[in-house]
Amino acid sequence: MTTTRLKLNLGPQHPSTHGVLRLLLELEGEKILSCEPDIGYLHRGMEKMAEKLSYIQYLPLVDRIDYLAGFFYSELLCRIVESACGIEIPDKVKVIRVLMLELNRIASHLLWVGAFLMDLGATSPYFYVFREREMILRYFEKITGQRMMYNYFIFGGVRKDIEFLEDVEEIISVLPSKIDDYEKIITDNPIFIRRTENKGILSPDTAVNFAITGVNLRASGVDYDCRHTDELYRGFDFKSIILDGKDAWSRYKARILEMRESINIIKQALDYLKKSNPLEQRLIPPINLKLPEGDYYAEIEAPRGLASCYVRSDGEDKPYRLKWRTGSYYSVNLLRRILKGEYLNDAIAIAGSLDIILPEVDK
Amino acid sequence: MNIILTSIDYILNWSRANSLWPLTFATSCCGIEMMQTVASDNDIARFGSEVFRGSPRQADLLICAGTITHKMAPALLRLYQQMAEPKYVIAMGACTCGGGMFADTSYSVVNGIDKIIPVDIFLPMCPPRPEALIDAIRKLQNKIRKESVLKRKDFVNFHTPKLIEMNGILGEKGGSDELA
Amino acid sequence: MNWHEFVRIFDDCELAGDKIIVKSRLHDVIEFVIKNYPYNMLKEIIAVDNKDNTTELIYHMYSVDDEEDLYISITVQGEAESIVDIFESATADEREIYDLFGINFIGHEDLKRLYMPEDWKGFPLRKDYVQDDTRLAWNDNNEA
Repeated sequence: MTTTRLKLNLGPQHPSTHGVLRLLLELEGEKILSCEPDIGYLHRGMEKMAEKLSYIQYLPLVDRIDYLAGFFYSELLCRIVESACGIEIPDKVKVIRVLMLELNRIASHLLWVGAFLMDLGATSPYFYVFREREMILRYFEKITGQRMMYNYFIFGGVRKDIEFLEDVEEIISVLPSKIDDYEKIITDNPIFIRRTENKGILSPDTAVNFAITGVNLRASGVDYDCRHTDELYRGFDFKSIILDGKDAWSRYKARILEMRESINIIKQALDYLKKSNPLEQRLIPPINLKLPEGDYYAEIEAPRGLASCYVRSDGEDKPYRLKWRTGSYYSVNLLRRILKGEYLNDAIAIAGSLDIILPEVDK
Repeated sequence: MNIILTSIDYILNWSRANSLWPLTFATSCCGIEMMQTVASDNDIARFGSEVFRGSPRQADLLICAGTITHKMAPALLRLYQQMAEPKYVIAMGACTCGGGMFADTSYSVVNGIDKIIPVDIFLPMCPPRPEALIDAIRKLQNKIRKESVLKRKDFVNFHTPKLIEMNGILGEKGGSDELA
Repeated sequence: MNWHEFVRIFDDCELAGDKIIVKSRLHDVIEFVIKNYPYNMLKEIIAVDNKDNTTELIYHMYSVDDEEDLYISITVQGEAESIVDIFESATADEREIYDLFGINFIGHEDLKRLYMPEDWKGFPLRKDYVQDDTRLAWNDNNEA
């Protein structure tokens, strides 16, 4: 009996590709011989738009780069402008930003847990995680007025003082027990373990060579977390999660542990904010804001890996060139390698475990 | 004759309105709010639309949740054409209504899906809250309850943009064969 | 770090802080750097279009162990040397730059459009880009 190779097209509209990712797979039986990701179905030209808009006009847009973690990208642009204008933001603003970023990280990871388990065919965790995520979104809405596109950070500070800290207290008192519940259902579930353990092995060398960052890299045993060198996180006591399983299961476990660590950071931020005075900040006047000539660079540890922003200014009120680096972009590139030789039914699980978000890939 | 048509319409519309099966077509941000609408707090199932289908052949409602770019547009048209009649479209989010923040500033975003397919309900906001999506579905249901089989055809014909004559990119089949 | 050996071999390179400005032989420079210094990750390649028909490419390298950044900058005209045989992550970056700037990377085997449709006209991130693809006519299509 002869077998022929089959070309299979997955996407761009496919329920399990997390958006508009398209994968061209070459199959022999169930085995994947090669995989070619085709992206760009959501390319919105964010980088070119920056060249047409002034900094304050561009600020609301950057939330859309990663709709699950909008705060991180606002923070990057604010940081660029603040460093260019030579402004040191007050401590309280820093702590507010850390609080928002870490809540955002938890919300993002929660959604990932739901979506990943959906990929594996388990529907109920999806309902649980959205219940908890809704709590965080409600709090964001109270503070910023929006559920997903916050536009809360502004050059030199935040739009308004933090309020409703008792809501955050409730969130962090409820969350650990909920995460325990997820772990009871998922972590030691034999079906889950069979579908993820030793699947999608990512060796540290390959990960570094493919410029993988964030949780995916740390789950392969490489200690790289730029929060430790980050000015914003100075004074916070936390550790990054390093696991050396290298497989999809470790990437799941690392995200769960990272959520717990984020709760730890939020607790410290809350202690500070409860004792602090009302907010005093000096905002940078956004009208006719011109950055001095030169190159600016800022980076932050986003939920899906290292995110960075590069701005070249020629002294005008618009950037000459603005470039985003996002974690998912390199994870998509990794699919070419990591799916090779795997079985088709594992492909979705492996791709899901890398936490790919398409607007971040396409920009 | 009219009496027969009216009662047929009544039965058809009643069954169509209460079992809208949406297609999972989540291209970006609004897709997350669509997921939220399905999840526990908002529970779209109360309105008979929880059966999200992966295949356009099984769906009769296309909730276009998110920006449509020029690369995605042929796929959108193709998916719409693959859906069986009767089919309805909700344009969810500012981007699908008229380009939103990206209108005219971005080189790769289509300024609204009404340039490509006929739209029944426009739901602006960036992104719409889950409650707003439920409201849009309710409005669509009301619209379906009132419509007549014959008039639906006129509505679709009137609102279908004349794309095919405009340029050769979208052929009659709608995009290349690879996009299925 | 000790850069004497580097300066001796590549005498047309300029060292300025954590930035190296390279005139030619980019592939050799990067190969030498990763062999002799602890840089092991290529975080990204940044392309900037100068208005005089040249493009500046900035290779942002990083050392995971030493937590140090290094920028290698080269100005090219239309084509550049590919480094996909050194860093796999460069496959994605180089395709992106080809798509948006039209830089032809010699040695890159799979160089084709990444974000834009295959038959899209022009390279959007160039400063002299004119939007004239036929598809853009959809946006003005008001008759329905």
